[in-house]
Amino acid sequence: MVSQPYLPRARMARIAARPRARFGLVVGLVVLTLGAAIRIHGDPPAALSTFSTRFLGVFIDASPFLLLGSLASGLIEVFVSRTVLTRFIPRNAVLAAAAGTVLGFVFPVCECGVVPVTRRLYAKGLPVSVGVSFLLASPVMNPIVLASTWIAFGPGPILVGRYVITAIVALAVGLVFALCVDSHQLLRPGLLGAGAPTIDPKTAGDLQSAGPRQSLPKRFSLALGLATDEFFDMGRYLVAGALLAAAMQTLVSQDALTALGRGPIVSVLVMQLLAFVLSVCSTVDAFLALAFAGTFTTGSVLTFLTFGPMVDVKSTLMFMGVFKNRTVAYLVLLPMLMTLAIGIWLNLNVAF
Amino acid sequence: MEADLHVHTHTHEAAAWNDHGEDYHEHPSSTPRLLRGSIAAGLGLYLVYLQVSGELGNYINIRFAWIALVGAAFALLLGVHTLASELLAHDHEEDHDHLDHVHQGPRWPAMVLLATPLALALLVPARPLGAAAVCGGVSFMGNGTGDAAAISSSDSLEWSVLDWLRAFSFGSSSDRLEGKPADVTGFIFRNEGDPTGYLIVSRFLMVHCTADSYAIGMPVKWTSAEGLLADTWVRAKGTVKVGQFSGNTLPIIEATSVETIAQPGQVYLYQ
Repeated sequence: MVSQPYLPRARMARIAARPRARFGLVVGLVVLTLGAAIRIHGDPPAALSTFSTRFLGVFIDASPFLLLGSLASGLIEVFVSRTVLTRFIPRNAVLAAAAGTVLGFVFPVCECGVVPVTRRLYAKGLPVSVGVSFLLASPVMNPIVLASTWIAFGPGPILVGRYVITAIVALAVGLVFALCVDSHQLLRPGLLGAGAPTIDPKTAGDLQSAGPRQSLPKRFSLALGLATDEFFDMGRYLVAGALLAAAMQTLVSQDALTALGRGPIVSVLVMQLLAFVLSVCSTVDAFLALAFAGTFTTGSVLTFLTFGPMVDVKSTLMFMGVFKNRTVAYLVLLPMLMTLAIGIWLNLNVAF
Repeated sequence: MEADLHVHTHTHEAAAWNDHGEDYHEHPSSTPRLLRGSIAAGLGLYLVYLQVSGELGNYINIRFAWIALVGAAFALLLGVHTLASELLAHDHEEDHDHLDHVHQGPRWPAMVLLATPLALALLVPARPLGAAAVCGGVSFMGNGTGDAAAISSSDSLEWSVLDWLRAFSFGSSSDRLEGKPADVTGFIFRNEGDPTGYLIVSRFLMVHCTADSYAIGMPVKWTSAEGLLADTWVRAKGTVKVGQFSGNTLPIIEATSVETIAQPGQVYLYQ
């Protein structure tokens, strides 16, 4: 109890993300696209103005949801003890995988927050299947993402499809793991038990278990501080993604996009790649998907909205800090192949 | 209390952790934290400004203005909290509880990226999408989520460009449109190679925000079309004839008058 490990989840993201290299990459990309925009248009002020308007549209729409998600994650970190989580998990593998799939509705973490939480849970002896299902499903299966997807797309095939496909994939991958391996083969050596990095028990106790020692305003203040960390950490990906989307819309003609987006197979591949590269937080990716919904096939938009939250550059890097490389390969490949197959199947067989 | 925050690690992750270990031990300098608070608060103020000035309509569908208000409240909350706790920490160095510094120190890349929206908002004059934003031509299709029943009024004089295109795309017979009176507003757009004596009256169509917007347009036959510059807002009146334009069969307005107008308050059409 006293040695409750405590670690701001945002810190995991930082370690995984190797900020300097990524930062350089992003800045380079932005400079390049802006330069290209100005060259192509021959009218720099107009091109820049268009770019800025498109970019700010996405950002203004999405940032409130990112803020909401950051606040939720800060509050959970401070007010919810992790032992509460494990108490309600069923022991049966199938039931546990199902529980892991919907656990996110109780603990709204996006893909950025889910890896450290999952690691914590494994250290407490959580069944493998719950952890994997939780890891894959919770970035979508939570109230904030439900709200943002609803507002972006309304009640319709995209909303329903996003949830059904996520549930199917998370459950299936969870079961595959449950049947094939035990948790000691999943994680990097030493991560089960004593090896996990912790801060001093005394401080950890202050933060979580020994509630009375911290006054309520103090704890709120701490939660707000963590929320700010999370907002700045995750905001990077939103800004980078929005810059890229805006550049694409400013530069690439509607016709070219439509040609790419109409192919039942090509469109799914393109959207899957975009989801992986953009690494946009699941709380706001619905707004980016809107930019493609007009020109791209519905199957490809659904693949973007289901694969992206499970696997992207950012989460893969975070997986690698926790799981063995083999495990990471499965965690990336299984959802990738499943969402790819589902997206293509939908395009070929279902009329939306 | 400063020394409480040791990182214990026994794994081969140690190297990675040590890279960042100094964050725990050093008292973070206050400038980046103040800057971070300022960025968050600045974002909140910008969102409030957009509401008050009405510029919000340049970026998102005003039906969702409340989202920006919620965002403003949260951003101000985080920004003011960061600024306040930093400033108070220096006023009462003795009493300050260093638990507040459990959270992270400066992250320059994150700060630069999060400052980008503010920089663009301040440096680039706010302009709604116009003719320059049309990439690869306007659409003449009235597609989208609506059906023919979504046309705003039975009186064709009140139809927008979108209503006309929908009526044409979804209507049972295009003959019904022949000879109907039209009165539409939009900005002027021209494709290279458009026939002389024509201009395209265009509007940007928005579902949610500028990310999903694209331009639609309707050809207008007007004798002195060449005298009007692209991006000028006009009001075109006339009667509709179904005919050929750039290889498409389209409803074309044969204008009796085209007058230059000020940019309307509601720039976009909403689906």
